[in-house]
Parts: sequence; C-alpha cells; structure tokens
Amino acid sequence: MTRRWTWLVYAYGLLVAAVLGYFLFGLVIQVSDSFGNLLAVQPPTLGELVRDQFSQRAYLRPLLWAQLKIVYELSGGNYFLWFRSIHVAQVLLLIVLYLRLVRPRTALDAALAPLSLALLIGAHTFVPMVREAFPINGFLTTAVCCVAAAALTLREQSRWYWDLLAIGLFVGSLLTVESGVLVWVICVAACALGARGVSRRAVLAMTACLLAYLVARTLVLDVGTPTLAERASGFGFRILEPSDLMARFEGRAWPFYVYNVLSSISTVLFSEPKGGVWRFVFELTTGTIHPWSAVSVASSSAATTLVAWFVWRRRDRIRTRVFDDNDRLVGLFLVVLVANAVISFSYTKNIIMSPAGVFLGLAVSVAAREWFRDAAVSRARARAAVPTVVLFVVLTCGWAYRVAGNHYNLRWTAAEQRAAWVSVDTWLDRQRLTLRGEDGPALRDALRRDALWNHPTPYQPPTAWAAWFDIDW
Amino acid sequence: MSVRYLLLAAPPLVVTIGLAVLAGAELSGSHPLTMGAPRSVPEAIALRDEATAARLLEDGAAADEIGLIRAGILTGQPVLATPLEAAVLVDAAMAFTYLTSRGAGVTPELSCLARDIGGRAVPRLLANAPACPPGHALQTVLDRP
Repeated sequence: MTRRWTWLVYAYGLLVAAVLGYFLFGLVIQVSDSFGNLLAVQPPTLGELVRDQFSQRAYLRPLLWAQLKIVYELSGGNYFLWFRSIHVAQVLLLIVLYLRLVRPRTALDAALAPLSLALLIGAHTFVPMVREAFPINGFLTTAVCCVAAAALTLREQSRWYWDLLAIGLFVGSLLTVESGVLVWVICVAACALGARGVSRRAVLAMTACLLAYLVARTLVLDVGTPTLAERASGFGFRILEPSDLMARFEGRAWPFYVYNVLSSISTVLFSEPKGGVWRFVFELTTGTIHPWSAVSVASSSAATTLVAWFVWRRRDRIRTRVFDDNDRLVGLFLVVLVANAVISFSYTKNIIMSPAGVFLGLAVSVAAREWFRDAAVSRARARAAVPTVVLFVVLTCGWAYRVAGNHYNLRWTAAEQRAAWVSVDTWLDRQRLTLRGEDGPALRDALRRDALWNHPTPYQPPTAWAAWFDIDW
Repeated sequence: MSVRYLLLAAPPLVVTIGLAVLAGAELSGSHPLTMGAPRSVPEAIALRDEATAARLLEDGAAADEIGLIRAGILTGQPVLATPLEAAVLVDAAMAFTYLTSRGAGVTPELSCLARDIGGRAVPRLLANAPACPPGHALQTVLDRP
C-alpha cells in the first residue's frame, strides 16, 4: 500500500520533468552568456582552460569551464542535443532527489505531491535555472548538489562511500560555482541537527577542504570578490548600473551589502523584492498591481506562514534539541536561507537564491503534511477548517498559476533567444569579439542554423497572455 | 483517496496535465492554445517570432511584401501589413532594424503609424512624423482590403 503511493508520486514527478523537458527542448543555446563562453573554450586544451581559471579575478569556477569544454568536445558539433539534454537531465535529477527528500508514503503525501513540486518549479528562483544556460547552468548544478547532500545527510547511517560522495559533491560544486559552499553548510547543519547520514569525519574533511579553498583563494590566488563595478544590481525600485552603484556606495559598501542579504532572504520568503527591486510595493503604491506580482507575493507569504506555523509547533523540540527528519529538513531550509543570502552579499539575483528556493519547497512539503496530520487529531478540528481552506486555496491555486507562468515564460524565452541569433554579428561587434580562424565562424553558423532552421521557434501563445504572466522576472 | 485529498492535489495537477496535453498535441501536429506556425513575415513579427521572420526572409520572402496577420493576433480582425508596419505595430525595434538591413523601405507613413501606436522603441529609429492626421495611418492599415 505504502509503495503504491510512493510510485504514484514518482510517476507524477516524471510527468512534471517530461513536460518541463519538452519546454526546455524548445530553447536553444543563447547568444549572451553562452556563445561567448563556447568561443572561449574553443582554442585552449582542457588543461590550459582549467589552469587559466586560477588566475581570474572575482570568480573561481574551474570545473564549470571544464564541464563546458568536455561537453563541447564530446558533442562533435551537435551542440543543441548535448547541451539541451544535459539541462533536462539536471532537472530530472533535481526532481527525483527532491521527491526522495519529501519521502512520500501515504495517500496524504500523494495528495500533497503536486503542490510540493509546484513549489519547486513555480518559484521565481527556479525560473532562471531553466530559462538560462551558460550553456550549462552552474546554479542548477549547485541546486542538485545541495539536494543530493541533504539526501545523503538524512540517511539512517553513514557509510564510507556515501561520505566520499558527499566530499566529492562539495569539492565539485564549490569549484563549479561559489554557491557550492552551501553543500558544506548543509552537511554541517545536518550534523548539528543530529543527522547521521554523513559522518563527522567526512564533515571535518569537508571543513579542511573549505579552509584550503579559502586560503588558496585569498592568500595564494588573490581572486577577491565581485566589486561594485562588476555588474548592475537592483536597489529600491530600480536597477542600478555599476556606475550608479559606484557613485552611491564606493568606500561605504556595507549598507548595500546588508540590503542585498536582507533582500535575498525576503525574496525567498515573500517573492519580494525580485532581483533587489521592490516591484510589488511599487505597483501597490502606484495602483498598477500586476496579477503575477500579487499572486507571487500571496502564494509565497502563505508558504512562509505554513513554515512559521511548523516551527512554532516544534518549539519544544527546538528547546530540547530532539529532532526527527522533518524537523531537520525545515532546519536545513532556515540555515540554507541565511547562508545563501549571506554569500550573495555583493549583488542580488533571483538565481543565486535558487538553493534556498528549493529548500523552501521541501520545508513547506513537510509543514503541509504536519498541518493535515495535526488537523486530523486536533480537538479544534472544526475551528481549523476555515484557515485550512483559505491557506491551501492560496497555496495550491497560487503555485499552480506560477507553474503555468513558468512554462509560458519558457515559450516566450524560446522566441527571444532565437531573435538574438538573427543579429548575432551586431552582438559580436558590441561585445568587441572577433571570430578567429575557422572554428569561430563555424560555431556561429552552426548555432545560428540550429536556432533559425534546424529547431524553429515553438508556437507562441497569444501576446494578450502577457497581461497575466509576468515576462520580466 | 478522499475528495478532500483530490481537491488538495487538483490545481497544480490540472496545470501539469493541461501542459502535458498541450505538449502531446504539439508533438502530434496540432496547436491548441496557440496560433501555430507564423504564415508570413509580418505575422511572424506580430507574434514576436523574429527568428522565423528572418528565416522566411533568408529563404527568399520579400522584405516589403504585404502579408496576412490572422485574426486574434493583433486585433479581432485579420490585418494586412508589410513587415515594417508589423514591426511598428508591435514596437519591435530589433525586427525593424533587421528589416531595414534587408532592404525594406522606410516611408514617412511609418512615422505616422508609430505615432498612432504610441510605441517607445521603434519611434527612436524613425524621423519625426510629418504632418498627418492622428489615427489616419493606423486606420489605413486596418482598412486595407
């Protein structure tokens, strides 16, 4: 009986992944952030490419570039199929690992599974992981590693091979994108919360690796962190260009950094601000509320309310420090939320908070299950009926709407990405990039042919739908 | 599974199944909820599908040829427009630039049309509108037989 519900939920997860995969195959390798990266991996050997990454400023991502180079070479010119397939495989892996953490066993779990997955793929922090690729999305890799690490730590017993895998996940993700440090955070936090799936020895080994990384990054390689001049970032009601950021915050950047950390926490909990811009507040004060903004804020606030309720219910356990896996999962969400926000202090983007967004979904899944179990045995059952209906109507309808919007967005993105290939030479001029030798023009022609002829734009929904779904995330 | 549980699962489940049906229908050749593939350069531009417009042009379609934009895309009625007019109607600056680079002719009427539409991006690419009655250029396009 138990297995039937478990299989049903995994089958549903497969359906969700298949649908998302279908929409992902509608995208092509994008011009910005992807074509330039592929041009960069063309001339050097794998060894040279990785070595060069250790002399970069602000970012240290040797494995991200190694992955790009390896897939580029393996593809044999069939770039679309290889890079798109990797993207879909990553999404599938994330969904399977996510469901493993949700641990569906009962009819109630099966009933909550659609909401649970909607919280994952409907989140505004999830959207950029599927909308964009560089052409491998390192943030999606990090999210997969974080969820995999959590699944390992919540195993009943540690084993040497799981320990090795956890260490490998940490080192691999840290050298792919800086957010990979969250794998270490998850393992340490889970250990502190009493989880025994990853041994203390392994956690110590990870800590040693992290210290070595920090020493190498700061004292040996002098990589540094992104400066204010690095990129534009949201502040208040608008995006500030690097020159504006310098003018406002140079020499006293800490208020901007505090703003970024608080904004990052708030965006996961309330879908506001997005990318540091307080869009819903602006719409509210100007009387121009977009349905998408209102639903995002309402559904995220409902999710946060449920998690807050769960934490309040478990206050005795927090005092006595006796936790089960559900408590640990919610605890991991809170720790990942704060840690994720702190490491994105230098600039705020929805995609950077994607691991925290994934763990919010897990925490809400646990809390929702607890809510219904609690309601079933509570004496005040009748009194709880109205809040239950209100809360879950907002949650299920709101997040379902967000899932639909995410897919609409992918369809629209498919046209937008292809449009950039129409005038790719203008883009090259603007970026001051020159195609060298025979390989550069050949790559441009192959990718443009893919975008315009081999994989034509998927059918576009009527433009009137834009009034319902936000297209500027 | 009780009715309560079904209600709990229903909203996201309905969306997922709806999207799965849409995907299945598209794979089998139909196109529910969308207009399907653009049938002319102006229609592709009106659907903001500039890649298809470029493909049609690079495959030999004329950059100045009037084409049909089906009902439901721009208005409830079908519209006959040139590719540049379509770009002005949806304020698609990138498409406008691309079309002019492919030899599409910019006429003074386009400036009037851009003013009637009230777009922001395309008017920056056009000279100031000559004296023309407000709404006349737009009505001319909409009234085209």
